[in-house]
Amino acid sequence: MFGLFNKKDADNNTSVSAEWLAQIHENQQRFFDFLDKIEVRMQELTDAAIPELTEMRNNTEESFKMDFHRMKSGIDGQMENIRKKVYDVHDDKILDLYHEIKHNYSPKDKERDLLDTFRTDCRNRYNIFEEKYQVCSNAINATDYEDYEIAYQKVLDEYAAIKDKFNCKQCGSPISIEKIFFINVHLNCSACQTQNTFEPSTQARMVQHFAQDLAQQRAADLYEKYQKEDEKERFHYHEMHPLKLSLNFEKDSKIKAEVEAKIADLEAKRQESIKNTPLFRKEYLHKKFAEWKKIIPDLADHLETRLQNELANIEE
Amino acid sequence: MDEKKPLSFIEKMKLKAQSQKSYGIDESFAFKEAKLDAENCPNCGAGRAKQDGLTHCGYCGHEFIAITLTDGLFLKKEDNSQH
Repeated sequence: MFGLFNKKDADNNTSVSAEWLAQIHENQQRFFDFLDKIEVRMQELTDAAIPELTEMRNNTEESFKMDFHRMKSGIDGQMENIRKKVYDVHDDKILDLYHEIKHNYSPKDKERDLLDTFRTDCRNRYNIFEEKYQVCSNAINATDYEDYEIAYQKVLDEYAAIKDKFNCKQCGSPISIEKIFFINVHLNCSACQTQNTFEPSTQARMVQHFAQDLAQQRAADLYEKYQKEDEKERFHYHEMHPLKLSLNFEKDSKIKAEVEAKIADLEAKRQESIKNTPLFRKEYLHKKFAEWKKIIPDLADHLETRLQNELANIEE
Repeated sequence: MDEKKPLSFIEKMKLKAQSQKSYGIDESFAFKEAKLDAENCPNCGAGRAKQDGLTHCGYCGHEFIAITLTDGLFLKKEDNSQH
């Protein structure tokens, strides 16, 4: 079809009635139709999956939510398949065709423009698909959210229920659990001095594992503040850059002065961001670790060391 | 037909996700309630009292734990038996 020997004819052909024109039109149309269809399917899959996933995430009372994770990785796999398929089709039907035509016919001027437009249009359509894919996959990922306050509240409730429930195994006098333990501990009976072993429930043991996440959750506002401040530096820099470039050939001294004033203003904002970012980060860390210590006071010393290490690593 | 297909597909997937067994962990046994227990010396049957320490039986000297305790969160050096 795209025989090498046709090359000469194609080169002579100055009008836009090249023989590959029909082919690119067909492929473009089919590619667009294909994407329309697959986007509908992707949306259907997302819409059907999200309520199921949310239900599975919140449903089971005490578990590692393994069924949820199995289900989610299945959905992720389906989504990834869709994406791969589109990638392959784009590669196969658009890019390959583009290069084949370019190689066989070496199109010039108008024809070349047409061919490039074909590639650009398809690429743009492909990008639209990618955006939609991101929206869907973000929505699916958002189902994997746990509010650790709920888990912590359960532990608190459990503690309130069991703290005066136990008796010494030796003499039967009551032993009260003085605080939330998250590992096994020896409690001695105040009456007979027998060492009783207290084994916390699995739920209570989990506290030390999710304490950091919970503390992070409680300090989320400061984290956001820090992140925003951190982004400002790059943002102002990118604002400044075109202004700086525009100065290169600027002869009018009045405009020059104006632009320079703008740049100075942006630079000041940028410097402020550089100054504030580590301060905000410290502020966030202090709050996070304070919350963390509140959740597991037994590890306060250890956490203080960790906090100091993290603070020492921040460059000012 | 087309509209129903992805739904039933999701349902199939859900069933599979729920029925599949995990390696190494059985969730029905994985979650334990809090409990309190005391152990007597397996050698002589004496109870374990606080002042006798945790590593050896205060009565017959039977070795419960073959290590020397160091300071930890709740266990302290003082919990070693004085032998």
